[in-house]
Amino acid sequence: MADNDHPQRYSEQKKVQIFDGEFLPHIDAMYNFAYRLTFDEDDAKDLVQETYLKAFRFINSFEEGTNAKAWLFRILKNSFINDYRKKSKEPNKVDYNEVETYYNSEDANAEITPDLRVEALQDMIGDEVTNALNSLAVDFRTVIILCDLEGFTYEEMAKILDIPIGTVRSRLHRARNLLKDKLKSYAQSMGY
Amino acid sequence: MENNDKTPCNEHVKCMELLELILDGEAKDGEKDYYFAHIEQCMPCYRAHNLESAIRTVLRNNVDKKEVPADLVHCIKSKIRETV
Ligand SMILES: [Zn+2]
Repeated sequence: MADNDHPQRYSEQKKVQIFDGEFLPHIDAMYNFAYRLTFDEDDAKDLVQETYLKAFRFINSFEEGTNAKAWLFRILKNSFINDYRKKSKEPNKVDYNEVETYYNSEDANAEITPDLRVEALQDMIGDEVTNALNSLAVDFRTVIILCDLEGFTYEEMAKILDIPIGTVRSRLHRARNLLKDKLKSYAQSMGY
Repeated sequence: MENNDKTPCNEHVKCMELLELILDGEAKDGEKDYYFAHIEQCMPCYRAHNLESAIRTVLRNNVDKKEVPADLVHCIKSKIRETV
Protein backbone atom coordinates (compact mmCIF):
# COMPACT_ATOMS: atom_id res chain seq x y z
CA MET A 1 0.00 0.00 0.00
CA ALA A 2 1.06 3.62 -0.33
CA ASP A 3 4.02 3.86 1.93
CA ASN A 4 4.39 7.56 2.29
CA ASP A 5 6.65 7.31 5.28
CA HIS A 6 9.49 6.03 3.18
CA PRO A 7 9.23 7.55 -0.26
CA GLN A 8 11.48 6.11 -2.92
CA ARG A 9 13.48 7.99 -5.46
CA TYR A 10 13.22 6.23 -8.75
CA SER A 11 15.01 7.34 -11.89
CA GLU A 12 12.79 8.29 -14.82
CA GLN A 13 13.77 5.05 -16.51
CA LYS A 14 12.95 3.04 -13.40
CA LYS A 15 9.58 4.75 -13.10
CA VAL A 16 8.64 3.68 -16.59
CA GLN A 17 9.85 0.17 -15.87
CA ILE A 18 7.69 -0.12 -12.74
CA PHE A 19 4.75 1.45 -14.50
CA ASP A 20 4.92 -0.96 -17.43
CA GLY A 21 5.89 -4.01 -15.41
CA GLU A 22 3.77 -3.64 -12.28
CA PHE A 23 0.93 -1.23 -13.00
CA LEU A 24 -0.20 -1.80 -16.58
CA PRO A 25 -0.76 -5.57 -16.19
CA HIS A 26 -3.75 -4.71 -13.96
CA ILE A 27 -5.51 -2.61 -16.57
CA ASP A 28 -8.13 -5.25 -17.25
CA ALA A 29 -9.20 -5.52 -13.60
CA MET A 30 -9.00 -1.74 -13.22
CA TYR A 31 -11.21 -1.07 -16.23
CA ASN A 32 -13.79 -3.59 -15.10
CA PHE A 33 -13.81 -2.15 -11.59
CA ALA A 34 -14.26 1.34 -13.03
CA TYR A 35 -17.05 0.18 -15.29
CA ARG A 36 -18.86 -1.58 -12.46
CA LEU A 37 -18.70 1.61 -10.42
CA THR A 38 -19.78 4.04 -13.15
CA PHE A 39 -21.83 1.88 -15.57
CA ASP A 40 -20.49 4.03 -18.38
CA GLU A 41 -17.73 3.12 -20.81
CA ASP A 42 -16.43 6.65 -21.27
CA ASP A 43 -16.46 7.39 -17.55
CA ALA A 44 -14.72 4.11 -16.88
CA LYS A 45 -12.05 4.94 -19.41
CA ASP A 46 -11.51 8.41 -17.95
CA LEU A 47 -11.40 7.05 -14.44
CA VAL A 48 -8.80 4.43 -15.33
CA GLN A 49 -6.72 6.94 -17.23
CA GLU A 50 -6.84 9.39 -14.36
CA THR A 51 -5.89 6.64 -11.92
CA TYR A 52 -2.86 5.63 -13.95
CA LEU A 53 -1.70 9.21 -14.35
CA LYS A 54 -1.98 9.71 -10.60
CA ALA A 55 -0.16 6.44 -10.00
CA PHE A 56 2.69 7.65 -12.16
CA ARG A 57 2.78 11.04 -10.48
CA PHE A 58 2.95 9.45 -7.02
CA ILE A 59 5.08 6.49 -8.03
CA ASN A 60 7.73 7.41 -5.45
CA SER A 61 5.31 6.47 -2.71
CA PHE A 62 4.92 3.01 -4.21
CA GLU A 63 7.44 0.47 -3.02
CA GLU A 64 8.57 -1.77 -5.86
CA GLY A 65 7.45 -5.38 -5.55
CA THR A 66 4.62 -4.64 -3.09
CA ASN A 67 0.94 -5.04 -3.87
CA ALA A 68 0.51 -2.86 -6.94
CA LYS A 69 -3.02 -4.02 -7.63
CA ALA A 70 -4.31 -3.01 -4.20
CA TRP A 71 -2.44 0.28 -4.44
CA LEU A 72 -4.02 1.06 -7.83
CA PHE A 73 -7.49 0.01 -6.71
CA ARG A 74 -7.22 2.38 -3.77
CA ILE A 75 -6.33 5.28 -6.03
CA LEU A 76 -9.18 4.42 -8.38
CA LYS A 77 -11.68 4.16 -5.53
CA ASN A 78 -10.59 7.55 -4.17
CA SER A 79 -10.82 9.18 -7.61
CA PHE A 80 -14.26 7.72 -8.02
CA ILE A 81 -15.45 9.10 -4.70
CA ASN A 82 -13.94 12.52 -5.33
CA ASP A 83 -14.85 13.05 -8.95
CA TYR A 84 -17.62 10.76 -10.06
CA ARG A 85 -19.77 9.97 -7.14
CA LYS A 86 -20.52 13.63 -6.57
CA LYS A 87 -22.09 14.05 -9.98
CA SER A 88 -23.86 10.71 -10.06
CA LYS A 89 -27.47 10.40 -9.07
CA GLU A 90 -26.74 7.59 -6.70
CA PRO A 91 -27.46 8.39 -3.06
CA ASN A 92 -24.21 9.19 -1.38
CA LYS A 93 -24.41 7.02 1.67
CA VAL A 94 -26.25 3.89 2.44
CA ASP A 95 -27.92 3.83 5.77
CA TYR A 96 -25.96 1.19 7.57
CA ASN A 97 -25.61 0.16 11.11
CA GLU A 98 -22.35 -1.53 10.56
CA VAL A 99 -20.98 -1.83 14.03
CA GLU A 100 -23.78 -3.90 15.45
CA THR A 101 -23.41 -7.66 15.62
CA TYR A 102 -24.78 -8.94 12.42
CA TYR A 103 -25.18 -12.61 13.21
CA ASN A 104 -28.27 -12.22 15.31
CA SER A 105 -30.58 -15.13 15.93
CA GLU A 106 -33.23 -13.95 13.51
CA ASP A 107 -30.66 -13.94 10.76
CA ALA A 108 -29.52 -17.40 11.68
CA ASN A 109 -33.01 -18.86 11.61
CA ALA A 110 -33.64 -17.40 8.21
CA GLU A 111 -30.56 -19.15 6.94
CA ILE A 112 -31.56 -22.57 8.20
CA THR A 113 -34.06 -22.98 5.40
CA PRO A 114 -32.63 -21.09 2.46
CA ASP A 115 -35.24 -21.02 -0.26
CA LEU A 116 -32.74 -20.10 -2.92
CA ARG A 117 -31.62 -23.37 -4.44
CA VAL A 118 -28.29 -24.27 -5.90
CA GLU A 119 -29.97 -25.58 -9.07
CA ALA A 120 -31.69 -22.25 -9.60
CA LEU A 121 -28.38 -20.47 -9.35
CA GLN A 122 -26.75 -22.81 -11.80
CA ASP A 123 -29.43 -22.05 -14.37
CA MET A 124 -28.89 -18.33 -14.15
CA ILE A 125 -27.15 -16.68 -17.03
CA GLY A 126 -24.68 -13.84 -16.81
CA ASP A 127 -27.29 -11.11 -17.21
CA GLU A 128 -29.24 -12.07 -14.12
CA VAL A 129 -26.20 -12.28 -11.91
CA THR A 130 -24.75 -9.08 -13.33
CA ASN A 131 -28.07 -7.26 -12.86
CA ALA A 132 -28.36 -8.49 -9.29
CA LEU A 133 -24.87 -7.25 -8.51
CA ASN A 134 -25.41 -3.94 -10.29
CA SER A 135 -28.63 -3.27 -8.42
CA LEU A 136 -26.79 -3.08 -5.10
CA ALA A 137 -25.83 0.31 -3.69
CA VAL A 138 -22.30 1.22 -4.66
CA ASP A 139 -20.71 0.51 -1.26
CA PHE A 140 -22.20 -2.96 -1.14
CA ARG A 141 -21.38 -3.62 -4.79
CA THR A 142 -17.81 -2.58 -4.19
CA VAL A 143 -17.07 -5.08 -1.42
CA ILE A 144 -18.45 -7.95 -3.47
CA ILE A 145 -16.39 -6.92 -6.48
CA LEU A 146 -13.23 -6.64 -4.41
CA CYS A 147 -13.73 -9.89 -2.53
CA ASP A 148 -15.51 -12.26 -4.87
CA LEU A 149 -14.46 -11.02 -8.29
CA GLU A 150 -10.97 -9.72 -7.58
CA GLY A 151 -10.01 -11.98 -4.69
CA PHE A 152 -8.64 -9.33 -2.34
CA THR A 153 -8.14 -10.32 1.30
CA TYR A 154 -10.00 -8.57 4.12
CA GLU A 155 -6.81 -6.76 5.00
CA GLU A 156 -6.30 -5.49 1.46
CA MET A 157 -9.92 -4.44 1.26
CA ALA A 158 -9.61 -2.52 4.52
CA LYS A 159 -6.70 -0.59 3.03
CA ILE A 160 -8.36 0.01 -0.31
CA LEU A 161 -11.54 1.29 1.34
CA ASP A 162 -9.97 2.97 4.38
CA ILE A 163 -12.23 1.13 6.80
CA PRO A 164 -11.48 -1.33 9.63
CA ILE A 165 -11.49 -5.06 8.89
CA GLY A 166 -14.56 -5.52 11.10
CA THR A 167 -16.44 -3.08 8.90
CA VAL A 168 -15.26 -4.90 5.78
CA ARG A 169 -16.71 -8.11 7.17
CA SER A 170 -20.03 -6.69 8.25
CA ARG A 171 -20.44 -4.78 4.99
CA LEU A 172 -19.65 -7.93 3.00
CA HIS A 173 -22.11 -9.92 5.05
CA ARG A 174 -24.87 -7.41 4.42
CA ALA A 175 -23.97 -7.09 0.75
CA ARG A 176 -24.18 -10.85 0.30
CA ASN A 177 -27.55 -11.05 1.99
CA LEU A 178 -28.87 -8.30 -0.26
CA LEU A 179 -27.46 -10.06 -3.30
CA LYS A 180 -29.00 -13.33 -2.18
CA ASP A 181 -32.40 -11.64 -1.94
CA LYS A 182 -32.05 -10.36 -5.50
CA LEU A 183 -31.01 -13.76 -6.77
CA LYS A 184 -33.90 -15.29 -4.88
CA SER A 185 -36.41 -13.09 -6.66
CA TYR A 186 -34.81 -13.91 -10.02
CA ALA A 187 -35.07 -17.58 -9.14
CA GLN A 188 -38.74 -17.14 -8.26
CA SER A 189 -39.42 -15.38 -11.54
CA MET A 190 -37.75 -18.30 -13.29
CA GLY A 191 -40.25 -20.60 -11.64
CA TYR A 192 -38.14 -22.12 -8.90
CA MET B 1 -25.91 -37.37 8.52
CA GLU B 2 -26.78 -37.10 12.18
CA ASN B 3 -28.62 -33.86 11.73
CA ASN B 4 -31.25 -33.87 9.02
CA ASP B 5 -33.01 -30.82 7.62
CA LYS B 6 -35.65 -30.73 10.31
CA THR B 7 -33.29 -30.39 13.21
CA PRO B 8 -32.01 -26.86 13.58
CA CYS B 9 -28.29 -26.63 14.23
CA ASN B 10 -27.55 -25.20 17.64
CA GLU B 11 -24.20 -23.90 16.44
CA HIS B 12 -25.54 -22.38 13.26
CA VAL B 13 -24.59 -18.81 14.10
CA LYS B 14 -20.99 -19.79 14.70
CA CYS B 15 -20.99 -21.99 11.59
CA MET B 16 -22.31 -19.25 9.33
CA GLU B 17 -19.60 -16.92 10.52
CA LEU B 18 -16.99 -19.61 9.86
CA LEU B 19 -18.53 -20.31 6.47
CA GLU B 20 -17.85 -16.76 5.33
CA LEU B 21 -14.28 -16.88 6.64
CA ILE B 22 -13.65 -20.19 4.94
CA LEU B 23 -15.03 -19.24 1.55
CA ASP B 24 -13.13 -15.94 1.72
CA GLY B 25 -9.91 -17.80 2.47
CA GLU B 26 -9.58 -16.13 5.87
CA ALA B 27 -10.14 -19.04 8.27
CA LYS B 28 -7.42 -20.45 10.48
CA ASP B 29 -6.50 -24.16 10.35
CA GLY B 30 -8.29 -24.97 13.62
CA GLU B 31 -11.43 -23.23 12.39
CA LYS B 32 -11.33 -25.18 9.14
CA ASP B 33 -10.92 -28.50 10.94
CA TYR B 34 -13.86 -27.77 13.21
CA TYR B 35 -16.02 -26.52 10.39
CA PHE B 36 -15.45 -29.31 7.89
CA ALA B 37 -15.96 -31.97 10.55
CA HIS B 38 -19.18 -30.20 11.55
CA ILE B 39 -20.76 -29.87 8.12
CA GLU B 40 -20.26 -33.57 7.49
CA GLN B 41 -22.61 -34.18 10.38
CA CYS B 42 -25.01 -31.29 10.00
CA MET B 43 -27.39 -31.00 7.07
CA PRO B 44 -28.51 -27.36 7.53
CA CYS B 45 -24.91 -26.17 7.62
CA TYR B 46 -23.94 -28.45 4.76
CA ARG B 47 -26.72 -27.00 2.62
CA ALA B 48 -25.81 -23.45 3.54
CA HIS B 49 -22.23 -24.21 2.58
CA ASN B 50 -23.25 -25.50 -0.85
CA LEU B 51 -25.47 -22.52 -1.52
CA GLU B 52 -22.89 -19.94 -0.50
CA SER B 53 -20.15 -21.57 -2.56
CA ALA B 54 -22.50 -21.76 -5.54
CA ILE B 55 -23.21 -18.03 -5.24
CA ARG B 56 -19.49 -17.28 -5.29
CA THR B 57 -18.90 -19.56 -8.26
CA VAL B 58 -21.73 -17.94 -10.19
CA LEU B 59 -20.33 -14.49 -9.41
CA ARG B 60 -16.83 -15.41 -10.51
CA ASN B 61 -17.94 -17.11 -13.71
CA ASN B 62 -21.09 -15.34 -14.82
CA VAL B 63 -20.69 -11.65 -14.15
CA ASP B 64 -20.10 -9.92 -17.48
CA LYS B 65 -16.59 -8.81 -18.20
CA LYS B 66 -15.85 -5.74 -20.28
CA GLU B 67 -13.17 -5.64 -22.88
CA VAL B 68 -10.60 -2.91 -22.22
CA PRO B 69 -10.83 -0.28 -25.00
CA ALA B 70 -8.08 -0.99 -27.49
CA ASP B 71 -6.56 2.49 -27.33
CA LEU B 72 -6.59 2.92 -23.55
CA VAL B 73 -3.05 1.78 -22.80
CA HIS B 74 -1.76 3.84 -25.70
CA CYS B 75 -3.63 6.95 -24.45
CA ILE B 76 -2.22 6.55 -20.97
CA LYS B 77 1.31 5.97 -22.14
CA SER B 78 1.35 8.97 -24.45
CA LYS B 79 -0.03 11.23 -21.69
CA ILE B 80 2.74 10.00 -19.45
CA ARG B 81 5.38 10.60 -22.09
CA GLU B 82 4.22 14.22 -22.20
CA THR B 83 4.85 14.61 -18.48
CA VAL B 84 8.28 12.95 -18.38
ZN1 LIG C 1 -24.62 -27.04 11.90
